[in-house]
Amino acid sequence: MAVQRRLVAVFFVLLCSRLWADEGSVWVERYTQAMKAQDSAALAELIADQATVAVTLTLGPQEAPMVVTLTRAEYLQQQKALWRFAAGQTIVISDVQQTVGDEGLSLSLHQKEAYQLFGQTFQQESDIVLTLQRFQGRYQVAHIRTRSRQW
Amino acid sequence: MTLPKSSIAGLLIALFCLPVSTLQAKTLCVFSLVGAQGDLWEQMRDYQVAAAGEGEAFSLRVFTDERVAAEDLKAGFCDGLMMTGIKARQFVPFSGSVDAIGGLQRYQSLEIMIRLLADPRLSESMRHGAYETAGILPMGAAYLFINDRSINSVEKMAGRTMAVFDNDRAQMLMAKHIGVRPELSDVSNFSSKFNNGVVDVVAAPAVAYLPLELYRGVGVKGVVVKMPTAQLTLQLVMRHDRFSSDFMAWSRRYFAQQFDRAMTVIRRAEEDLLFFYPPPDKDRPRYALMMNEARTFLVESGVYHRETMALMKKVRCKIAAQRAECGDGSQW
Repeated sequence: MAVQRRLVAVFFVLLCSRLWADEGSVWVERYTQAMKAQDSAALAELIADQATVAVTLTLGPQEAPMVVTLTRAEYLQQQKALWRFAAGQTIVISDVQQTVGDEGLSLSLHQKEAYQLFGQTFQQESDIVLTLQRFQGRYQVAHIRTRSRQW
Repeated sequence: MTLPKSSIAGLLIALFCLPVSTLQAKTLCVFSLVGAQGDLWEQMRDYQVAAAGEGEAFSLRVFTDERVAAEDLKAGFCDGLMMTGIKARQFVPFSGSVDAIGGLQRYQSLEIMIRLLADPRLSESMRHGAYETAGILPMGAAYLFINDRSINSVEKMAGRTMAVFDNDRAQMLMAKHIGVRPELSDVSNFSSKFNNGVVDVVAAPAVAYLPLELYRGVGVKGVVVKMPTAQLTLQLVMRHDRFSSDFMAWSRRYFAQQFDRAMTVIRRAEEDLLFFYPPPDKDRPRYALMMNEARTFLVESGVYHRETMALMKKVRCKIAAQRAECGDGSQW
């Protein structure tokens, strides 16, 4: 009997992980599409209203990194402003990994972007960690941590 | 058709009894960097129409040089001038102090302040010498535009060059206070100095970002610090012998009601700001402290009107009663 209960529990854990993993893959796919299409409305749908975005900007070998916390609105505004001014976007998302934890699904990915901005080339390389949670029946990002280098 | 003699006599008497000033056509001058176009100009055109409904007719004249416009107001060539609050302070210090550095952080506070200043009980305070403030519009918060993201603390600004307006003693004192090197500038040339790298830092509202191409100065390595250093305004200052008190009161209420319209333009402009980041997390309390210290220092230096500053403190504490200053017994 005890063995059966354990088997059922293991089955549910595996099922949940599988479902989470599916949600994670779907989220990454939608995120990639939104970023490539520069679709701010689609990007906004992926992020929960109360989400916070912790940005760590590395400023070169001599400087301590700058840590800035943005609200969802501030994060989306920045992305939109960048798309407004920039041309010739290239974006590559790689190294996607998923981990199921107490807070939900954690996704990590590497993002490399390049733009033409004010006559110069602007490049950004970021290691991003996202926590996905269920809000009102939808999986959205509750928290974003990004460590970026810009040049 | 001939008029009866009594009617002609009546008309002549009425004509002679009218003050000379009423017979002269009135001119309202408008300072606008973009000339007779854009949102401000449209707002003034609408004001002109609304004022005609109140029995006040005037023509509008645009100036792209604020200094020249202010001189024309002093000389009586303009009966009123819509100008920046910083410039307006020399005409009416009470309302001109609304733009105080560290004075108001939120647009909600500014709206309350503008409505308060349109209250008839404050009409006496809105008059100074020959001038009276007949309306205030928001121009947007002043943000620091910096050409290098590594200048990310107050300490790191020391030794850098900042454009300060030569007509604003507050900016000069503030620059010295935080140790930046002031570069005397005016509205017409501060942006080119920033965009050409002559200065590292400028303070400006978002509405200046696209027209003055401040994004060129910020470039790909700079930042716009999302923390208001002041709430900038546009203020209509009139020669009060040229308009009735009732009209002035109506005019102040009119502009107070235009707040949301002006804010739509400001919010749209703020949406465009690139690299628009709040101060680093660890420096936020210090930036807030710096703003509080700056305000106190400038009031004590005699730059700002003390009654206005006391009113602004009441507004700040009405909006955010948890602020440390709200229980410290300080006047401003």
